[in-house]
Amino acid sequence: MLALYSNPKWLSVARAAVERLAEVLGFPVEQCRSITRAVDEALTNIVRHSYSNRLDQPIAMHFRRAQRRRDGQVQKGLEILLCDRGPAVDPSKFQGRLSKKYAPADWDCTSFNRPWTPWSSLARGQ
Amino acid sequence: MNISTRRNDKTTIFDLSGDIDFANSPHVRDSVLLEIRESRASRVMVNLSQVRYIDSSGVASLVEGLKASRDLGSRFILFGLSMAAREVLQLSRLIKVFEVYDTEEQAMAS
Repeated sequence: MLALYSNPKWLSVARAAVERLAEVLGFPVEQCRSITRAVDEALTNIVRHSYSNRLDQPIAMHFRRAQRRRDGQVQKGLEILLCDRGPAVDPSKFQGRLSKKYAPADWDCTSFNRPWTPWSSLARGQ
Repeated sequence: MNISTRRNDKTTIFDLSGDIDFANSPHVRDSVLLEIRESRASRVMVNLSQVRYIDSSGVASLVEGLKASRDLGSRFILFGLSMAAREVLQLSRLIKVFEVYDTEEQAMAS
């Protein structure tokens, strides 16, 4: 887990951490850049839209190694969960827009959840 | 992120380097727009060869520079695109909007 404030000066720190994590997990260089771009754009959206450019609001980034079975093969991946405490919005307004433009081609999904849902809750399907 | 400016007769060249993100893209935008409006150069060129990262807000700053240049009847040229800059411009499909050259020499000769 990586916790940071909504000050844009921390974006470069978050990018460095995400890119390094993706490298360590063995993603190809191009995918590392794609993952980093997608997370950076999502963080920027949180700062701009969820926190209206306030600098001192909390953002939590959770990372989890994931795997799935497709066509009889086990594929390994990375799940990233970004949590903010901004005002609730209508999730239907975000359909198909969440960082898709900057996501890797094999990016599975983006989703919007509320209220605050740490991994422990998601893992239990709550 | 660093931005420096070179000027000769009718050309202004911006050399951008480092990471251009939401933290500093307003500075890029303001610097480029101020220079375009004050210098009234007939050709504005942006060197992206040393840009390590650029996000959508950085690209938006370039688009604003392009628009301001067009409004004043000048050309707005990008050259030396780093891998990071090229990828983002291709993803956003804005690379075709800009006049792009591989090198400064090619841009100057255009």
